[in-house]
Amino acid sequence: MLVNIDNLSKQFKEKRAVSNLSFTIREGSCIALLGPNGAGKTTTLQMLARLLTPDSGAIQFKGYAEKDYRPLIGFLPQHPSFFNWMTGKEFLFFAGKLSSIPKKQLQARVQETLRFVSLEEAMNKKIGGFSGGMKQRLGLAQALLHKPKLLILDEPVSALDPKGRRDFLHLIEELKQDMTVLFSTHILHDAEQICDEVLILQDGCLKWKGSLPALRKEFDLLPIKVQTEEPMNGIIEQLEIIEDYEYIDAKTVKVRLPEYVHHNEFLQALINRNLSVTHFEIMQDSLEDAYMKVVRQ
Amino acid sequence: MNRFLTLLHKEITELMRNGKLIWLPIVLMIIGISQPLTSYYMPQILDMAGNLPEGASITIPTPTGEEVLSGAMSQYGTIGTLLFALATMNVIAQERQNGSITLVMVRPVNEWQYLGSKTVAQLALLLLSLILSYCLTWYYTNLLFTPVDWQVMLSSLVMYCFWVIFVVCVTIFVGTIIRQSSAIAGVSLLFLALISLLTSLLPKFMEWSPGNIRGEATKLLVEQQWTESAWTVIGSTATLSLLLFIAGVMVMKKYKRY
Amino acid sequence: MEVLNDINWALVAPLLILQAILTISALVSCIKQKETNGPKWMWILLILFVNLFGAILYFVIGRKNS
Repeated sequence: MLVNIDNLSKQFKEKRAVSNLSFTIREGSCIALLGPNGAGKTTTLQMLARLLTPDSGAIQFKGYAEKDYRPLIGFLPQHPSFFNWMTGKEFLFFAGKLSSIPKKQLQARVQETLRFVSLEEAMNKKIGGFSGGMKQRLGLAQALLHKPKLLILDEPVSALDPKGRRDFLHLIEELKQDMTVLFSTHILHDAEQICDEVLILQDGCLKWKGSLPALRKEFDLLPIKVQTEEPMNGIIEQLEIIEDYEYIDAKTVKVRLPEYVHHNEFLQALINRNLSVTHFEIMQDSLEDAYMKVVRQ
Repeated sequence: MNRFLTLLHKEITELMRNGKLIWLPIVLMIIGISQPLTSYYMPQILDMAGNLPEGASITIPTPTGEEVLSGAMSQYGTIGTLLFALATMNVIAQERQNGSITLVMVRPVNEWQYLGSKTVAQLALLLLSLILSYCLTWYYTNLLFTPVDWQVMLSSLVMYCFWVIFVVCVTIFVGTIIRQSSAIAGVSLLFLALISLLTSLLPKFMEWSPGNIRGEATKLLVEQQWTESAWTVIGSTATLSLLLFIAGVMVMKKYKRY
Repeated sequence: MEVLNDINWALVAPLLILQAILTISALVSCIKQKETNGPKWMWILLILFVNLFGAILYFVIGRKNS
């Protein structure tokens, strides 16, 4: 275990942004903080980065006695803003010195980091002239410059175009070999690509935590989708082999079968009842559904 | 200490890159040397204005060098103070508004270092401008009017520096409380004006007031000796400035969000 | 304009030079600036024609800081 977060709460005037949030972060894991907009993801991450003081609760790094654990973390805000008059390289030197990287190592470390985020060519340009994607990569560079134990990224890819997004996810994937990564996103697909664990947040409360396969297993309720020409009302209800069902419309339904029933049996049952099946699908990826279920709970 | 120096280096580089280190000294020098020049050419200026009836002549007594210098000081007191507050109002507000303060504060930087670097850099800029401007003004005064002894000039300059220190500390303190830069300048100037007003209305109770600095500096020019009241004013101004700085740090420590 | 002959230009020159440096540096900064608060041409006119205060005003509030 690397960090223990205990009972974190934060109130903004009227709105309760985060309430009684508790979870732990294992060393070496990659965790996605998922949730719709306004769920309290940014607030949570900012409290972890000590940019926001929680109303109550504690954040404890294991084996680190000091209260100010900022040397252990790297943080990339959702919209990083730099000093536009600096060059990228100057900014990294500035950041590195603030994090007390020894002078001898700093030069090499800055070069290495710039190479990692592919900003070597632009390093002597003014940040004011950087594109959004370049700023995001510089933001990542400053976050990992001092080799933090925990890298916190707030919506790292939501402002990027598809290619930038893919490249950035690759970078994170590489990083997770060396450090623990916690990042927020409202897009499940991003989390699915690189994470082992997800925390689902809704209205400031932790709705679900665990691995993605576990999420699928727990909520993968209705993996068969059937469409027929005739309405199915009254027929599905009568079928005893069905464990659970949900109508999308009168002619479309999603069902779950118990483990001992083969899906052919279900198809057979439909045909026996004179229904013309136009679509029969065993859905492979119903993670999105599971996520929506958690959020709607 | 290292972090403080890194932050200070950043502040000073910023002052150079955004041009403040050029325009502020120049503006202050222009304000300063305009004083002896306009005093010297006053007859010509009136002549050029030319609304005098034929044959009328006005005699303006030529001021002494000391009077010209104290005139320059009154310029610093009005336009100068306005400029000092305007130049200082943005130092924290801007970083809070555009969010660049977050990338500083996610690193192990504490509020003393942050505010300290801002204050020292700002003081360096303003004091440098004041010193350049005042010395140039003194040079002109010596050329055009009765010469003023350099020690007298220097002691009045040192005295006046405390006003600049006070203005910077007030503006930076207000800057830790308010986010809007125009409001920062407004509140600071209002406060400074209030202090000056109270000082002139209630001279008995306000002997310690920083509002007396210009008066004391003028007294140093004219009477040419340090009096006890000069020390009182310096002492209280230095203490007040220090307290404002500490209060600013305390306010920052209380921030729930930068 | 004989009054002008009475003026010792060596004395006044530094003032004019300082003024020129200020105006030019404000102009250069204004032209190089991507975005100003308010129309750029207005600032250029202010800097050129409002002595001293045009340039000061530009430096204090004219530049947009993203």
